[in-house]
Amino acid sequence: MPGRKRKYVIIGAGVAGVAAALAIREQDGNASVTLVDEEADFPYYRFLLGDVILGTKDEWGILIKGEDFFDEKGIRLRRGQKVLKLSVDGKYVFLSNNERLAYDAILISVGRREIIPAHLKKYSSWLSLFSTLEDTLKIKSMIPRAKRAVLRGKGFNALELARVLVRSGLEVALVTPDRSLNYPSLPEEENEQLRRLITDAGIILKEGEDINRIEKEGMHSYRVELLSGETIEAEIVFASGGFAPKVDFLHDSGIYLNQGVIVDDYMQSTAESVFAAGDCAEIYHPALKRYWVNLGYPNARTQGTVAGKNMAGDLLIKLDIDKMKPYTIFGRELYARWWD
Amino acid sequence: MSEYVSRDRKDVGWLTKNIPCRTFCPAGTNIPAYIDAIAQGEYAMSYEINRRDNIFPGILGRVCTRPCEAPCRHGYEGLGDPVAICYLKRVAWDRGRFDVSKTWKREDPTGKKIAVIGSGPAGLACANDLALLGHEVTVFEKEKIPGGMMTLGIPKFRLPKEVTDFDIQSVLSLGIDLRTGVTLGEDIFLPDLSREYDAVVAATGTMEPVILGIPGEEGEGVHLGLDFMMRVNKGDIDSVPGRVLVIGGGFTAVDCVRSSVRLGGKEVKLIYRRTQAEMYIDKHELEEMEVEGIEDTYLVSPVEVMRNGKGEVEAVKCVRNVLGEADASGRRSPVPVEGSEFVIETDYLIAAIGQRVEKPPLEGFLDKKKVKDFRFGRQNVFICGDVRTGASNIIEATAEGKMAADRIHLFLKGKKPLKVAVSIKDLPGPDTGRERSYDFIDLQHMPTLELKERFDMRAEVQLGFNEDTSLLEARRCYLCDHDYQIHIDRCIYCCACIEAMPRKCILLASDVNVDDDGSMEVFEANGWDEVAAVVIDNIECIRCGNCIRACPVDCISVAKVRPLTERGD
Amino acid sequence: MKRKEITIQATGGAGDGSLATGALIARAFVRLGYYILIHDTFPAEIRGFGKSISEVRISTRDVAAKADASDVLIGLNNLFAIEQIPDLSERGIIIYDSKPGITVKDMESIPNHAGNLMSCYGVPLEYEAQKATGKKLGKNVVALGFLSKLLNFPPAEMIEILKELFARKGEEVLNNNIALFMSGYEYEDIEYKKIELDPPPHAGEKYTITSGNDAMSTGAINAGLAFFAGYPITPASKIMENLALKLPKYGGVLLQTEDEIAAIGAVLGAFYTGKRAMTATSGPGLSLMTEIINLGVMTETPMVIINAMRGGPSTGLPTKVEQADLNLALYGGHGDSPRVVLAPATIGECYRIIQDALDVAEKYQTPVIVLSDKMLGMSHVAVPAGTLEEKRASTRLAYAGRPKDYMRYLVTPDGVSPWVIPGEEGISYTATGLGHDEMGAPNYDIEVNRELAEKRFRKFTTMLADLPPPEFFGDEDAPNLIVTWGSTFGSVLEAVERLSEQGYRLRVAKVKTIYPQHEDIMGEALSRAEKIIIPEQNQFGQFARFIKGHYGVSADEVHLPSGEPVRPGDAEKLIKGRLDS
Repeated sequence: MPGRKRKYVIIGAGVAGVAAALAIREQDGNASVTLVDEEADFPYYRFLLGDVILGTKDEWGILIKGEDFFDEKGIRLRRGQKVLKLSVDGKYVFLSNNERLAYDAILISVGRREIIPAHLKKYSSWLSLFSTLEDTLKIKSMIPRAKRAVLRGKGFNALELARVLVRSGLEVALVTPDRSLNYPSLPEEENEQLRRLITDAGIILKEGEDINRIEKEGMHSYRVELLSGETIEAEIVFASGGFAPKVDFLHDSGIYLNQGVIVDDYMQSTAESVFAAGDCAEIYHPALKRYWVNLGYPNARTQGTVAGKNMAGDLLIKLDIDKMKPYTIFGRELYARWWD
Repeated sequence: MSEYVSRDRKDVGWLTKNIPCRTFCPAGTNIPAYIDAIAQGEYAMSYEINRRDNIFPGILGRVCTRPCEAPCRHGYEGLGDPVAICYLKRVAWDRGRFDVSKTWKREDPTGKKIAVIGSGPAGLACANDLALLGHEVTVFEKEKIPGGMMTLGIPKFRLPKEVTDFDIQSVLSLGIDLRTGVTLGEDIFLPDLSREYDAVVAATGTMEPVILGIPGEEGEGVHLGLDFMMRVNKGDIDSVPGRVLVIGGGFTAVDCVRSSVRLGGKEVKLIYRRTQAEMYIDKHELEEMEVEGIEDTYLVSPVEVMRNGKGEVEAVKCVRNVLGEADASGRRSPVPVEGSEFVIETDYLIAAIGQRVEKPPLEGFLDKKKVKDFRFGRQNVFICGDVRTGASNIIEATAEGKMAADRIHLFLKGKKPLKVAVSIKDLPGPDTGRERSYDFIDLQHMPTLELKERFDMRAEVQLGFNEDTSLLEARRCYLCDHDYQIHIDRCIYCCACIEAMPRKCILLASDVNVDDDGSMEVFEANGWDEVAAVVIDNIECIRCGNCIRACPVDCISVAKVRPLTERGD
Repeated sequence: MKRKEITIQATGGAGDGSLATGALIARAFVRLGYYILIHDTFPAEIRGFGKSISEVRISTRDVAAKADASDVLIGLNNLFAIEQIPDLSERGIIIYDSKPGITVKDMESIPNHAGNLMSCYGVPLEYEAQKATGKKLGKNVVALGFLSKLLNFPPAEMIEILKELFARKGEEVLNNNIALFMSGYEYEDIEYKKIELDPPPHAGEKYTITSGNDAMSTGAINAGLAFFAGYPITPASKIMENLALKLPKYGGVLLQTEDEIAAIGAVLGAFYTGKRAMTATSGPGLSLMTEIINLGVMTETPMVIINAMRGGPSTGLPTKVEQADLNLALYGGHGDSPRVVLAPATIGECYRIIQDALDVAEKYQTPVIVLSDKMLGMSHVAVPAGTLEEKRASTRLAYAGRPKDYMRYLVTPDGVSPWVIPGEEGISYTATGLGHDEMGAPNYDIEVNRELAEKRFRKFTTMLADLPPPEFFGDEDAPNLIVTWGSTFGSVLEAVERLSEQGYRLRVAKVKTIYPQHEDIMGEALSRAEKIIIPEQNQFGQFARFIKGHYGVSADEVHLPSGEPVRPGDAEKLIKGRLDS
């Protein structure tokens, strides 16, 4: 449509979102590109959050791009605005500030978030999260007056948090609900090595356990009761029920979801003009013989770029799924972080 | 002040358009009325409204599929969550239940005898209404206990025995004769009943489980969902081995996995061929399933049951799906991905992929073309419930039973079917009994059992609202049965109401078009020169009363609109 | 990163309470121990529907000017707030009313107009207000609650302030306001970043908030003002309003006259009887008063005229700022008619200067014009408690001789004649606008009149001892001298501080006594300067031309933009341009 500016909306300004915005800008210099993110911060690399706790990086050191970058590229940033609803028929998103934002093409790149296990949801105001920079700064501010931490879950986030908390001098108990720490995706000997690393670091590993109840003890401390009846007093309690794509707002949209947004090779969802990329897009991975949601930024960047080009162009590029390394973060990188 | 009854289609249409919960309830329950009764502390009145409209308040207050909640006005964009209508029904039962047979009057005996086959929700609902109309009703039940799916299909931790007992007894105590252990086609036969009774109602439900139809299915170790649930409820199954795999995406499938966890299953998994969104299941059930730590996998279909040398179930070979074109139900059908086969190891397989009508006993009466208004051809045989519609749910079946009763009454007595009229009563002032602050109360959450206490088959998971939470939740209801109107002859176009409106519910209109069905189309004016009226959009209106309080000339009125059911002669 | 200062702007329509919001914010921060400056902007119409803005600058040091830009914009009306976005700093924060259920159009969307670095916090203000109290009113207090959270302001402190303000309006009003405040404070549905301020400079010390108009009214009462006559005119009306309430309590009389001519006449009459009297007006009013001011000069009757300058000429811009009445004040007389012209440069100085004006007028028996302006008169700052308490008494030069020797216009070396109030036994004299002799009798003798004219001018040298001399700031030996007067001093000083950081060598003179001049001090300073720059908020260069003519020096005129109070950034740019030329 000559003459009329096309409107691109990208929900979620993570690695994939920023990559897509740039790809669109390259393809269509005239288009209106809006990045919407529920966080108030400028886009940053999530995997560096541990470094913020350790103090090896500060809040500015983890930004994906400089703050002026988006102005220079003519990309409009809407920070701190959550999308509550997407209307496929109306071609708009409804934001938490009660605005409707119309689009010609939209990318969902909201990424994943730690989910609180359903049975602990009632304690959510007492639980620490470790998904956003804000969560991270909150944890960091708690460290000086904390002695002990209980972390439930065995995912990347729980392990990463365990690592940084132990290095910050806390006594850490890691509670994993499954009977073993084994990651099906890792070779057996690496699993064993990981377990050894964890226990060698001084982390108390409680496999096959779960948190049953939490009680508030003092201003800042909690009594955590495990299923076995054992209780631990801790100042930081973290519970993860896994890492889930933040696609709740799409439930009534008619777009097909499994864990994340199901997309084809062009990163397009089941609805026209709606694309998804990064840690919230779900693709059938032939090598794994299953649907697969990415974790980690190198793949996310590629996916974002592919999605952006296809949004601005005419379904030009297929994602080379074979080049997507399914476990880059989870396997080697996690392992490497523990060593250094 | 003034109250009048209207049969105008526009007024009846207003009711349909404006009280979405009631419209979407298959049984047409007068929801605002019973919620208002709870808000006033009149629990017995609330119970009675429910008992009359949907027969089984205790049961439906726990396991209803809640078609009423999704369209609730409180869930509109920017207004928060729908009212917990279902849980409030439970409040009415928990706090207000009483024996209606003592106070309700049955109509004078008609001398007509009716046989109802099947004591599930459809059968009992039908029997209930017919008994109240003065007919002599006999209910035949194949099992030893009445209730059908309500007692045998649903696990006790969702629906405790005392609840089903009370609700079923409440119906039977209206003077209904119940005969259990009587099987159609073995002990009784349709042609005989048709001769002996003035009318026969077949409400036998869909009790035959659907099989997977894949190799290796026959033999030990593979259970069918409904069979499994019935045997669990009867006490025939009291434990399951460690690894359980359930296939299916409906209520029964989820009941099977949740029961398995309680019966000793350590690794319980659910697979479904489409995605979560296509499941015939309530969101709440999925959440509880998640709490109980059950693993679910979607877009997976089984292709073969694998057995070891001894013939024991060892694993299920599965395939991943993509969703293809939409089928007749509007859902996309799963298409297998080539080369995506994989294996799930399991000790115990439950296939809960649906139920269908048991054909043999009703052979000859199931021809859909011959069943009109529940009546089979020109005979005195009526068919209602799942057996007519296919597997549905309790509220649909209850509604079926009630509608069938209405038709049977017409057949036996020549009485015209029930019709809805409306009573419209002007309120003297803006006071509807609600305060503006009620609109901001958050959805009350149902307290549930802690994880540790959930490993008991009989421990009810949902604990019910207490007095405070039920009052708070009841106050959330906007009471959509209030009709706000601006009287244009008195309006001075000052726009004070528009200033005060909480959302875009009052419009400057250039034209208003009211259709015969009561739906209203407002054409918004683009400038003052076009304004012909200031109009309240009743669909957007949340009945907050801000406009009335802001109006300087008192030109806005409120009327309470109630549905009435009338039967002509 | 902690900030040294922050400027918060509340914008809304009539009835949104934006000015009240600004006042509340200021009160809160003064309580904590910060310096503040409130500048309000409102529609010119007396009962308007236009945009009202309250801008509060909160700082860890004393400030006398508006900030270059606001850091936080509280939008109580979204369309007005959009107009204010250009006023916001690059990383500004916008708190606005997001209305659930009413979808905002693209063009009316605040985030659509905001810059990328800005943060937009949409809080459903009106919705939360209704939630808290069931009523629509009070969204400004909700916004204040949210702002308090952003600024880490302790809620208990704010509740104390609300109690102070609303306790007398009844419990319901107070409780509603507390509920409104808390609903904003506890609003957590959006992502936000907190703002940290440096610790307050004078925590624990008591400060009071005052405007120039308030300070002048109080100053006048504490200096024994007995009579005020006036005709209301923005931006001076507040003085009359204040005095109408307070003056009778101190035994004084306030007279609202039919126009400014009657007002100045009444003031002349009152002071003639020995009662301290004054009036307050603005440009157009001062024109009307000129005739009678000359009568005061000729009859040596004291009078004090406050002229709060506004945008002109004619009725002009009643609610805007300009320093353009200097020529009228200095030269508005006919004949050889000198008058004292004073100009406070900060709000804090207003109190003393009005007392000085009354003292000098009475002692030297001559009209005094005090040039204030809209910025000084109607903006507010915090001053240490006690600043506004100094009292002054009569300065009249009494007559000790025999009644029959009394001469009203006795020629003395210092020019001041003893003054006896009419009514004293055995003394009578004439006060006339005609040429007169020492007794006051009309006299057209050239010699006599020249002698008396010289006497009247002599007073202006004598009185210098009682008038505030110029003050100097900055580098004493700097080659560049900036001479300032009136409300623009604050921004000029800030501009100079910034320029000094850039390496310029600058000295600033603040002139409060414009006529007569402290010639020795000013002359010395001017002669030492290589470059003289005189910035002022008018196009004429009124003060610059006065100084140039008076001292015979050459100076660069800088015409600061008028309308709004001058922002330091603008002053910096213009002065820099002169320095570099």
